Amino acid sequence: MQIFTPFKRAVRLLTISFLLTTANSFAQDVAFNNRQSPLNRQEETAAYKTLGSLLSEIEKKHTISFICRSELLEIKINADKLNFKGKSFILKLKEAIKPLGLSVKQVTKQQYVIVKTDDPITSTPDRNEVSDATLVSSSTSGGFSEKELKVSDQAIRISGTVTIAANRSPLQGVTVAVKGTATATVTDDNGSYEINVPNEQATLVFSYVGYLTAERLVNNQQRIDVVLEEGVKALDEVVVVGYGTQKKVNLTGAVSAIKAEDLQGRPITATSSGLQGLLPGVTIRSYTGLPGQNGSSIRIRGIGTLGDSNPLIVIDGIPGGSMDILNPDDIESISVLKDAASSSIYGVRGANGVILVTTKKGRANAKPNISYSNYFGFQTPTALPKFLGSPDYMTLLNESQLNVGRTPTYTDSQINIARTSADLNYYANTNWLEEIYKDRAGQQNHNLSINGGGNNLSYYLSYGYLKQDGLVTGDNFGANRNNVRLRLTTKLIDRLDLDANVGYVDRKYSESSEDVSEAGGPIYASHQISPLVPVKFTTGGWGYLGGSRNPVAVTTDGGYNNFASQEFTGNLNAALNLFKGFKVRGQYALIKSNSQRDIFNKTINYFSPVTGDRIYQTNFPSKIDKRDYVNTYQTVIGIAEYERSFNQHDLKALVGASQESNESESFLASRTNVVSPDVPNLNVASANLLNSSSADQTALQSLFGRVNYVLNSKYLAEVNFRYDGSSRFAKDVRWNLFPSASVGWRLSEEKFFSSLTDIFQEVKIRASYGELGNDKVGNNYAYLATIGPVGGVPPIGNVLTPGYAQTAIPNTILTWENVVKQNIGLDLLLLNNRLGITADYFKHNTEDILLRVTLPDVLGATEPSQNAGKVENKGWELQVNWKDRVGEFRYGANFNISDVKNQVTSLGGVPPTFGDQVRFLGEPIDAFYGLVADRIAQVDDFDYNPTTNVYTAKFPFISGDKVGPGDIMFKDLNKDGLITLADDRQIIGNPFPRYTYGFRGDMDWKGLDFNFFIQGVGKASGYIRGAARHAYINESANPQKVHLDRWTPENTDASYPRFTYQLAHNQRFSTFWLEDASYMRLKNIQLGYTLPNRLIEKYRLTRLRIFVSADNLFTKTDFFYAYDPETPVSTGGYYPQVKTFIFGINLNMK
Amino acid sequence: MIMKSKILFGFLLSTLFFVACKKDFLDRAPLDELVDETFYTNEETLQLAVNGCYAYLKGKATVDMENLGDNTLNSSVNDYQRIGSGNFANDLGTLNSEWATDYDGIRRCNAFLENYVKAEGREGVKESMAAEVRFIRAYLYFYLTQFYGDVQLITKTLLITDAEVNGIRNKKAEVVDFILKELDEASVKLPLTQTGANLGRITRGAALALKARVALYNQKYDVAEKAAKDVMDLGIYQLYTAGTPATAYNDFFTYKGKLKNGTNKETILARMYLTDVSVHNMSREAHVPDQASRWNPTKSLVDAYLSSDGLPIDKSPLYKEDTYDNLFKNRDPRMTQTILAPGAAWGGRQDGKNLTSTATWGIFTVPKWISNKLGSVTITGYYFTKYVELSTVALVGRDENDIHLIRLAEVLLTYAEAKLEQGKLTQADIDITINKLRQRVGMKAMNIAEIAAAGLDLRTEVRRERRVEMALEGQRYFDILRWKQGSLLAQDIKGMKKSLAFRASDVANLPADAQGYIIAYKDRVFTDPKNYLWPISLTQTQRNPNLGQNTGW
Repeated sequence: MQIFTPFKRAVRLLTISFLLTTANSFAQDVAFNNRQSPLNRQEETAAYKTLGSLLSEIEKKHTISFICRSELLEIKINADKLNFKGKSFILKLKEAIKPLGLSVKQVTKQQYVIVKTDDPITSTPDRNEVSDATLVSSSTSGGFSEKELKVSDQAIRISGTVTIAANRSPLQGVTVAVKGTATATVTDDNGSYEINVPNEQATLVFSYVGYLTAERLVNNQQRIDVVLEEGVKALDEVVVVGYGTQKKVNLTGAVSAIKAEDLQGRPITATSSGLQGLLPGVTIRSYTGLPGQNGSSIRIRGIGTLGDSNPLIVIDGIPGGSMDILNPDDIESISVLKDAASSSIYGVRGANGVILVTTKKGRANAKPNISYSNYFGFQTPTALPKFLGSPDYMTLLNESQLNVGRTPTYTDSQINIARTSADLNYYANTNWLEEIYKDRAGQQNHNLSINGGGNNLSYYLSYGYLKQDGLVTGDNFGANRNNVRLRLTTKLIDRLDLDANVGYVDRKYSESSEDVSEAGGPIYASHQISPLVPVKFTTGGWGYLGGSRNPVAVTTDGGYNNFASQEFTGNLNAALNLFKGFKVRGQYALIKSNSQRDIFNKTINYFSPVTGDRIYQTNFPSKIDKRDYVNTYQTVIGIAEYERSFNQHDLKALVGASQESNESESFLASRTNVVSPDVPNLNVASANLLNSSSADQTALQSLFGRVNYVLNSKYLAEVNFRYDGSSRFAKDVRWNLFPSASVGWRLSEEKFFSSLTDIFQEVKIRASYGELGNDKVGNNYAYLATIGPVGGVPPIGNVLTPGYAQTAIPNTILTWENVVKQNIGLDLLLLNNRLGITADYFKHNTEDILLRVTLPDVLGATEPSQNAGKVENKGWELQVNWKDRVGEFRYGANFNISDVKNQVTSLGGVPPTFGDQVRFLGEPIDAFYGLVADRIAQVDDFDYNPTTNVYTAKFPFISGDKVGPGDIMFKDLNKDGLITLADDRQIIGNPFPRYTYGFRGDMDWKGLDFNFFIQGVGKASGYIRGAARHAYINESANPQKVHLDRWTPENTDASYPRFTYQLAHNQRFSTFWLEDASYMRLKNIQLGYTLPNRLIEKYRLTRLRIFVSADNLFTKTDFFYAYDPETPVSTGGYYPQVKTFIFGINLNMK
Repeated sequence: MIMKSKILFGFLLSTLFFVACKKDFLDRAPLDELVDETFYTNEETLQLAVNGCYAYLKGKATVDMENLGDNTLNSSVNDYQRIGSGNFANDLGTLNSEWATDYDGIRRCNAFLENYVKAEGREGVKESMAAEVRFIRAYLYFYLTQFYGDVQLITKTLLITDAEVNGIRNKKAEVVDFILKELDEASVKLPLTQTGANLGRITRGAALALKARVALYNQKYDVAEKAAKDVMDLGIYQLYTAGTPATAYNDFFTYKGKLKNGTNKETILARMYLTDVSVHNMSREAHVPDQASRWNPTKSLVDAYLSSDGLPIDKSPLYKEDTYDNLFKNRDPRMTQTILAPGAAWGGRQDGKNLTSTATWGIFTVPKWISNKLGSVTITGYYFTKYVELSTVALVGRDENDIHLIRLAEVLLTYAEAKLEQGKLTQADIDITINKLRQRVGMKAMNIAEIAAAGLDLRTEVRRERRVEMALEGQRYFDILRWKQGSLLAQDIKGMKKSLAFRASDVANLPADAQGYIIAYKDRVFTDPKNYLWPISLTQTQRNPNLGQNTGW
């Protein structure tokens, strides 16, 4: 703790000076609030009430409602002698607020508006006005002047409903005003309004906080339904940032955000996959479509580390959760923090970027809104290999054997048996791909939520259910998930805001006892098994001919591997408003998960169709394996915040402390020889009673802070710091400080810019610089020498013998990676806020990379991670939004593209790492490294000796390779006349995708909505290995249709080299096998129709939308046909990527 | 105002309190492992650490090394076969994994040897344990020197910063001297026998016998002779003769010969196996009933067996190659106990003769060539029976026969060869060594005078004895190399004469040589001196260029 003490002192000092500033500024309160009203200078005594509470009282007494600007609600009134019981309450109220420069006017029978007596009517918002994010039901389009406000009694009565563009649900509290007059009303809880207008030339103005103001000419209409669009008014847009929120205009860091509606209506099973292509600079790749396990890898601005490159996920302020098990329907917004300015407040875990997920909460003063949505649909694979049938398999096997001087396996008569299907037991012709996959797998989703709230309490309660079936034959594959979330937000004793957010997830996923993996499991096995094997013998039992297991038998009868997890998240947040602008917040969160895995390896017996005796067994002996995992994560966070404006100065400051701990435990027990397979329980298994357990813990302590300063709404500055201590490092090197600073300049606010403001509504440039860390070493105790149990010990004394050994070499001076991030960015809003452009250029330099420096194996153990080496990521991002309306046709488009160039700039003085993927100075991390293929060698490239039948190559080749005509010729890069792996390989590709882009278009017209989303990668390399790509390189590498175009003396212009049975010299990694993994894909397309209100009103429905949607419908790519380009490096065993087709409904009722 | 400041300050202080005052909050030790300092404390933990080192005894892998030589041909390619055929480059996986695995084991041994003295315990027990570990380390260095020649000699646990990590290789001779010295010193600390719960651990005999092997392999014939004699003189070991001479040799390699049965006094060191704990798959690989056998004896091995008159087949009047059955008649009895003879029980189900009846599937009659998935196919015309436990052929990976790493027979052969190479092999020496082995199986005794009379070379005959006795025990490759007979590895691998096939059509499409022998595998190469050592793998030379490379690579 010695290191910590001086820092603690520093913080105390900081805190004290902070308090001094606070006290001074409070004294100046009046001065800098004078642009509102002088009234809040009043002393606080029991007799004073806020105008807000006064109005609430009246509302309750008289079943009327008030409209009032939010900043007025805080005004204190001496209410000591007032009573509003009688019928003259309006007059009394008028009297009471008159000294404040306010008045009250009736707008409908039961609605009144509080107006400033000196307010002019404005139909556009005042740009400089700071809007209040907590605003509940007032208009930002200004109040109404006393002299013009009058209740209209004229002829034309207009009615209609106002709904939200995103989900077509009705919006309550929207101000509907007649332009140029004081006539106004607000919508009720069905979003309905009625208003009188003076004539047909009148224009109605619809406004609501957080939504774009809409105007409609009355003409001869009597019903005007309006759809308001959310968040378009970018000036007021608020973005969630670390430990708080920030107005988008004041952001100086690089932050991208999406909102709930960006994910709506898509069959998203894991949130991470749903983010793909939506956010510039965020590269998302999914390797599997496995039900329940199909999350994606997320890389923000490239790979800055050779170790763990996953960004930190923060859900409702709690770091380290999994967004893939959240219900996507519960998500309100997702922010991605990409540069140092935005993410350095997450210190030692921020190096890979930070993703902030915020869940929904209830809306205060709103009647319960019940919303239900569902979809039903199915999935099919995007790409599958096509294997050849038995006769081809046998013929080509012989060819491959003769090619390498071996004896052929099959005689012509045997091939003929297969061709004529004369023996369905031993010479079957099975298409294993058809057998292992079902035609389609179902998927369905249901979401039910209720939200609403009163004055002091709002609530959001939701239940979500997701069910996915598997594409693999048998009943074992599938997943389901139940999400429950309850969020209560309440205000106590006027100053204390409490927010309780409780989530519960109960999920399950299952596979067969052999689980799907890259190079194993039933899918891989279905690629490896010979087509000669029947699925079932004609005698009825499972087919088996040796060499490989029957994958259909395994997935159908071989038992299961079930995983179930219950996860509880409790997140309590208390904010105490100590005095104006200053509040302290405390947060406690607990994430407790309890998971179980049940594996039942059920023995399958195979019986000979000839003798009936057992010829083979899989999963013998049968085995029950039960595992239990418990994980407990806890964090406590304390934050003090101060926010104030002084004349031209806007100041925001935050300081906080937190600590986190994570403890996990697991327990495993297994037994073999299950007596009755119908009761798969440990108790009914009789042999090999084994058990084991493991446990693990980590902790983190932190102090952090941030100061934002805005001058004249033009000049923006921000400073962040975080001081972290991590248990992953030895005591002496445990603590470090991560600072950052950023500045911004809103050019559009400058006088010299005023002539351009008709075109440009916002121009901002910003720059940031800072440091971040990464403490993910892989092993939590890499600095400690630990000794644990090891395998492989022979049964000394003829019994199971345990052995122990040191399992890893420690590195006692191991510490975090340090990343220096630089960013400059430009934000533009133009053409009447319709076009938004954000561009960023960044450079990230990672130093002290935690690198497992591959050392000579004489070391005798896995190398520890060391802080060595540097990596640079440079790149740019561009995002363009367009949103507009033509009459009733509303449309929008969003395009984003980004690129990142990754380069190893230092290897810390150690030699480069070699292999198919390498780490070289000046090259991308894990760049593809291989031989350069020239062409396929022809007979002419050899000297032929007819007596010995030997071909001698006239070109250089790798010593030891059995080269012949039809083999790949490699380029002699160093021109020494020899091909060697040491000297003739070079960088041939980069596995990390470049130019990732997304294009989204959406439009709606009279209740009909349509949107599409295209996503792609401009440049990437891939590598399909082993039997997924090649034939006969081992006994179970089966030929695919593409292999028919192999080299033979007759087919010299071939796309595949000659078959060489069990010799893989042609398959050495070279440019010949490098795949182009770029692609463009129609990620989602969706068509919806919202029924007109008049059709559904009688069913108490406020909204009913039906939709159809499809994911991954079309893909354009040059990638190897059999696999998906989103899985660019593969051995073929992954669960395929899927196309999903769904239809569903969204409905709301009150 | 002051009031508020106090509240605020109090809040921040309390926030800092939980951060700053819980001093050990960040000290998080592993909860399921022991830390170095606390481990080496008593005899029990030492025992666990010694056990960890035993994981590096090679076991079934030594049998697999037979693929390097010319006794067997795998129907499927493996790395050992590629190396044996000369068709491989320095990126072959095994070249690297052998190196890496051996040094992993050496580190584990070094870690023990650096720390065991710290533990409380009886001095004798601790030193005996240390001797076991020193044996294992010497055993690993023995394989390293055999495969790579010069290797780095590391006797401490290396830190990543140690210069040795990027060091140069020590001369093979230096490492061999180290091995011999270690085995010498270990032998005196080791117990004579290990029984009960310690059955399978290293004994004094094992240290001496390994010393004899290492010395022989390195042409230190006097050392080899003495070490072999020391083993013989221990008086503990005797050849396994249970049952009849017609079966004893074969039985030794099945479940009957397992150490735990107590009847085996021949084995000096075995790698034990036990169902559900540690098993191998040798029997199924040999007779796999639905594919091609992984173990196909070569013509070269089959021809090595003498006729029962003690003469080689090309000199013996008893030898007849007119039918498949006759090949097996009047031969050294070890032949039919090693190579499956017609009429013997097998696990390969349908053979090449009877394709309709299933009644005779348990007995082998003629080789099977057609891959119809109903029986075990051979690619040379022969099958093994040595190391085949028939009861487990039908099961996958359920063999629990011990793999005999060192046995008395080898020590006897070493003694004879060491004497021979020093030019002092006498008939008496042969009688206490080679003739003991022949006696066990009922083979005619070797007689120096008769050998001379028949115009045979004594050295060839002693070496032949070693080949046939030790077939499938992983030594043939090393013998070929040390005898400088590398050219044997460049020859085509052949099988039986096509004319012996039961149905000519079955073998019609198989290539054959001028004499009609099936060519099962060709294009093998052996370059002298290149192929006398393995190359240092590409991975290792790239990680440490100081390692240099072996001649010719």
